[in-house]
Amino acid sequence: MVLPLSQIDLGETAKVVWIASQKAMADRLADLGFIPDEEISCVLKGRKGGMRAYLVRNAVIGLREENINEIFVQTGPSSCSASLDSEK
Amino acid sequence: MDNYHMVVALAGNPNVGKSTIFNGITGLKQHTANWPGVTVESASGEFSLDGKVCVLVDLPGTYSLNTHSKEEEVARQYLCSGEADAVVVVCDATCVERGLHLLKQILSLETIKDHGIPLVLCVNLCDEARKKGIEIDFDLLKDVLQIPVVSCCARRSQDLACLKQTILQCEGTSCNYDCLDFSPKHLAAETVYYTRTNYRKREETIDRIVTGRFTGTLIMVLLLLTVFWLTMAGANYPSGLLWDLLFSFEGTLASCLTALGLPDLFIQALVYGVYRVLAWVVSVMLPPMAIFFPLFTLLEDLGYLPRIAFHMDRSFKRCRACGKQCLTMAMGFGCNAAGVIGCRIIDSPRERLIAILTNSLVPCNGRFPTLITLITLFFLAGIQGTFTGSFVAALLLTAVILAGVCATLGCSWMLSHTLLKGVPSAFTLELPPYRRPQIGKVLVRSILDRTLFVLGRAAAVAAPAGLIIWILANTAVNGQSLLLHLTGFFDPLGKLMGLDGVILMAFLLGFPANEIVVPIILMAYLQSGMLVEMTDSAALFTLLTANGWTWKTALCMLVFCLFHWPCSTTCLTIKKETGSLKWTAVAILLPTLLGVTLCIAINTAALCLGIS
Repeated sequence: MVLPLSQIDLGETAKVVWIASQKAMADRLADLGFIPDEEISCVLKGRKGGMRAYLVRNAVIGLREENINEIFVQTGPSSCSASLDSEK
Repeated sequence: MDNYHMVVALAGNPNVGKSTIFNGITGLKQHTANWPGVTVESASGEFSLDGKVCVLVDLPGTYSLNTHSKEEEVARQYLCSGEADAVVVVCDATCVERGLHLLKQILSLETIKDHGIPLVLCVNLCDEARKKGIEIDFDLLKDVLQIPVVSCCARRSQDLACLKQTILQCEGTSCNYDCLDFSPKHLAAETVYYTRTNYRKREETIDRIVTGRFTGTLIMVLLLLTVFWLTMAGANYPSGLLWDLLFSFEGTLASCLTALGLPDLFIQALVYGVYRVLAWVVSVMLPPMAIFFPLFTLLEDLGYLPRIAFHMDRSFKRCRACGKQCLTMAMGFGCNAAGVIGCRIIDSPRERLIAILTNSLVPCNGRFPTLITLITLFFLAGIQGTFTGSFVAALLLTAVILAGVCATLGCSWMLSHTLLKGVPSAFTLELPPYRRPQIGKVLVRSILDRTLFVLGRAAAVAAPAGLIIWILANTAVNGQSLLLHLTGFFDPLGKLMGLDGVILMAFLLGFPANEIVVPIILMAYLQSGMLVEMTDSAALFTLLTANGWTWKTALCMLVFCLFHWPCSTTCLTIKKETGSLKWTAVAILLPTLLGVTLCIAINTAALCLGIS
C-alpha cells in the first residue's frame, strides 16, 4: 500500500516509492538517500506541526511536515523482499 | 601554490570530522563543532613530512556534487579546478554508504578522471563506530575501490601520521579510474557489519526526551540556566581574588613610576586611568568567561544544538524562517560575524537574509561580560555572593538571552511579512550522532581561543581608548573639557533612553569591539574627577551610583547592550555576505531602532509610574 510518509508511525520502516517535491528539494532529498526503493524509518516525532526525523542510509534527517507529505512510501512485507538496484 | 610540494584537498560529507583532521594535521585551529555546516569557506594550512612541505585544504562538507547551496559550490569548484594534487575523501564510519556515494561522484568528475588525480578514502570516527558495534571490512573496501583506504580516528595522532604517510605515497602517481565501477549501496552492504541491532536505542531515547513535546523546552531552558548558574556561582570567588591581587599592585606601580621620575599627570593617567580599568576588566571579565566558554563549547561538541534547531523549527516556521537559523543564532552567541558567515548553510536566499539581519539580536562573546556585570551589580542587592544570588543572576541572564531569542523570532516574523515577503521553503536538517567531547581539548581551546581572545581584544582596544578619553578629559575648550562637551551633546538622547551621555558615547566608541563599552564608561567617569577608593568590587557600584545610576539605568543599558548596532567586523561581514549597502543599513537600523524604542519605553514607563 502506498501512503504519504507522514502516515508512518514512530519506529516503523517503509520503502520510498515516489518523491513529489519540487526539483530543488527532490534533489537534496535524493542526495541524502530519499530515492525510490531506499528503506527509511521514522525515528523522531517532535511537537505537533513540528519537524520529524527519519533514519536514512544510517543518518538521522529532520524534515518539515509539508515535505514529509510529499514523500510516498510503501509498507508491508512485499517491500522487504524486493532487492532492486537503485543506483541510477 | 607552486612553491609547495603538493596540494591536498579534504572533501567529504558534512560533519564527518574534516576540520578535526585538518586541525590535527596542520596544527591550525579551525572552528569545529558537532553539527553539519560549520565550515563554510575552505581553509588551508601547511604540514610537512620528511622535509616536504605540503598544503592541506579543508573544504566545506557536501552531500553530493549537485550543488544547492553556496558552501557546496565552494567545494565543487575547488575539486573541478584541478588545483589539488591529491584528494582525501573523508567519510563517517557510521555512515559509510553516504561517503561512498560522494566518492563515486568525485571519481566521475572530468578533472579527476582526466588528470588521474590520486584519491584516498579516509574512514573517520572509527572509534565511534566500534562503540556502536559497527565493523568495517577494510581489505574488501581496498580491493573493490583500488585506492588507498585509511581507517582513522582523528583524535589519535598515530592515525593522522598514517594518513599523512598515505597521502605522501600518492605523490606524483596518476591513477586510471576507467575500470572502476561500484554500487555504493551494495559495497556498503558487503563491507559494513552491524554486530548490534539496537545500537541506536540509547540515542533515540535521548532524542525523544530532548525534543519532546514538554521536555524539549524545559530541558533547553534548564540547560541554559545551569550553564549560567555555574558561570555566576563559579566566578564569584576567583573574581574577588583577582581583584585583590591586581589592586595590590596599583600602589606599587604608581611608586615605581614616580621613582622613574615621570611627570605626575602622566602617572595619574596611566595608573588610575588605564591600569585601574584594565585590572577591573581582567578581574570581572576573566572568571565568568573562563567558565562560560568551555561549557558552551562542550554543548557544541556534544551535538545538542541541532536538537534545539529541530525542536525550535516550529516557531521559526511560523515566522516563515528556516529552522537552521537556530544554528546560525547559536553561532552568534560566539561571534555575530561568524554567525553571519554561517548563514550560508541556509539555502533559500530570502531566509538567509532574514537570518543575517537578525543575527546580532543575540549577544556575542563581547557582550556577555557586560550583561553579567550589570546583572551582578544592580539586580542582586543584598544577595550578592550567596547561593541565591548566583541563582537569581542566572535566572536574569537566561531571561535576557530568551528576550534576544524572542526578538530574533519577532523580527524574523516582521521581516518576512514586510521587506522579505515569502513562504517558508523546504530544507533538511541532519541530526548528527552525539559525540563525547574531549574535555581537555575543549578547556584548552575555549580558554585560549575564546576567553583570552576576547580579553586581549578588550585590553588592546580599551588601553588606547583610555588614552583618548584622558586626552579628551584634559583638553579644555571654552573652559570646559572636551569630554564634557561630547557627553553633553549625547546627554539629551541618553537621558530620554534612561541612560546618559557617557553610556551612549561608550557604545559609539565601542563600535570596533563591544567588549570595551564598560571600560570606557568607567574611564570616562574616573576622568570626571570623581576618584573612588577601589577597595573591593562594591567600589564599582559606588562609582556608578555616584554618577547617577539607578536600577533603571542598568536595565536600559542591559536592553541597549542586547539591541544596538552590530560591531564593525559584523557590519563588514554583512556587507560582504549580502553584497548590498541597503541590507547592511537594514541590519544596523533594525536592532538599533528596536533598542532605542525599548529603552525609551522603559524610561517613560518608569517615569509615569514614578519609580526609579
